[in-house]
Amino acid sequence: MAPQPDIVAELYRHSLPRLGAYAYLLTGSHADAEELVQAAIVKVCARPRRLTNLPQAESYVRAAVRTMHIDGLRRQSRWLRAVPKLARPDAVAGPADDVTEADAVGSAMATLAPRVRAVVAMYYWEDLSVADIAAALDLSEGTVKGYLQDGRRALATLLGEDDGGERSAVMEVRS
Amino acid sequence: MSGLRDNLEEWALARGSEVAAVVAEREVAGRHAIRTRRRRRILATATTAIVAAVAVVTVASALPGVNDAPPAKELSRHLSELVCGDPWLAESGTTAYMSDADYYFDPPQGGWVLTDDNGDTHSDFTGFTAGLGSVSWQGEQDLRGHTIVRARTVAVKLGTVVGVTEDQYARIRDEGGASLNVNAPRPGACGDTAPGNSSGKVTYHLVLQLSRLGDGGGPLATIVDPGGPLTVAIDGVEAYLEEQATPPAEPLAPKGDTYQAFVVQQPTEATCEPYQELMASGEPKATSMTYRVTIPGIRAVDSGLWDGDPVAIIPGADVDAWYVGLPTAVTSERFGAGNPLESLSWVTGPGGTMTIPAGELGLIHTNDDAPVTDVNAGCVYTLPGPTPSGAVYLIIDGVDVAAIDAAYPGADYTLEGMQTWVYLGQAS
Repeated sequence: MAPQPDIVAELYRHSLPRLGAYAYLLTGSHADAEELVQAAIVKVCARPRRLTNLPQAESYVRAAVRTMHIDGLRRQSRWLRAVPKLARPDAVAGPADDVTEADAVGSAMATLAPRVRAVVAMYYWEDLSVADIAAALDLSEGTVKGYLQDGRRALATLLGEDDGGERSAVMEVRS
Repeated sequence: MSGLRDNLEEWALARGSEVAAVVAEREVAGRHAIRTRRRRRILATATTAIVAAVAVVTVASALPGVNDAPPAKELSRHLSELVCGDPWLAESGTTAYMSDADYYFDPPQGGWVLTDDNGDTHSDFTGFTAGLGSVSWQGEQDLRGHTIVRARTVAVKLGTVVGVTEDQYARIRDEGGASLNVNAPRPGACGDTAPGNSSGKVTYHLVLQLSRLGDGGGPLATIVDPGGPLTVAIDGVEAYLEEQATPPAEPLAPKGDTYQAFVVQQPTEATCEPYQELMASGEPKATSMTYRVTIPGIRAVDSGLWDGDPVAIIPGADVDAWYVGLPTAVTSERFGAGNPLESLSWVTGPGGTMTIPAGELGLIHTNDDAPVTDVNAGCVYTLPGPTPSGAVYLIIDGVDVAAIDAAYPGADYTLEGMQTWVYLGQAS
């Protein structure tokens, strides 16, 4: 059963900022987030299911964004990252990426490893439980808690959340 | 943590609005893709024979070099949906979809490159062994206007697609050169399905699709195989896949001053977290060579290992031990912040430090920023740090040859480029 055409239009009119935010949290790249959101909308809306309202459709697309990103991480780790001798894809950042990483949150998020970043995004943006995240990533709950702790430490310290102060980010450059 | 959540939400929504502005431009292309997929699903319920015939026809008509060039949106749709099992019917060349398309781009310049296991690159090659090399298309293209290049490589065996990569993008807002570095897939890299994941000859094709923001997602042009396709012989695919399927090792807890050590290939890929990425990919593996290493005086495993005090003070100063003098570092499986590879140095006391008693050997932190393997030069790390967790390893850039010979008598192996990962325990 195909979704109502107006649901597709509503997704494009009203849901893109929230979906784009989630995709950016996961990927850290404008170009990747753009492609992820577009692909997720196509995937969900092409499925034979009835989408009756916008919140329902948006939740499906949000889940598709998550699963497609996780699939991408797994594929990367299988072929490109498993063997250190292989060249890795040289992702070309859009001009906006340089600008956005200049702020404190962007700098903090940029320090996180891809899986830590995914866990933080799923926990804080999608409000998934540790158990749900563990199932989605095929990890133990302990590992997810570890990633979450890593992410919290990095972000909270940089953003001054641990003491409420306005601590500014300090960068160390290896020469 | 509500402040953290609020900060993240506010920041992400600002980024999301920028992403939304671009995706909204692609609504027409998205609707087209949705309709196509629905049609495919409907057809799929008919008969598989019909589906096969339709697939051949649609791909044949959708790709450039075919006489009946379809509308640009049709081509865009089919290119992005090209999957393993499809026939490869494209021909080399450029197909433009707008009369002024050539204003926006020049022909791409570049070619196929083999990166071998030493990190060296070659442009003239006929084959390689899986896991000991990889192929990519490297080049650049001059663009004008707000133009996006989408690049994809495809592996073809006997006329059938057996591997595809994710699309990679380069974007130019005004005018300039876009760098393209597109990795080629291994045979069988097909997502959920895996046909063709075996050794043999593979032909790699590069497909570039250019589009301009503001045109509703329709492409300006498609370029297939600039400079020609590449046919290359790949061997060892089966062994590579078997190795990748090997589970990670389960290190044994230290017994006193004796630790389990693993022999691991030095990372050569330039990355800021080489060891964390190796661990995430399953190193050390259950099949890694392993032996016992005894190093007295190593401190307990906790964040104190990174606090600047000596990591080890070894009574008796056995300066002839195999590890003394070798580049050494300590790292852990995960790092929330800070430099994940803390360089260490072997010194005899008191030397230049007051922390090592006279006549004793120490392993101290060094500020010379010389990692065990110099693959993370130029990386930027956020302070304060570190926040280590997970498995902690002492990385020694060398191996105890005598101990390995004793552990693997008569075995045929090479230790060139190998290093020792000494498992110290779990960081809390």
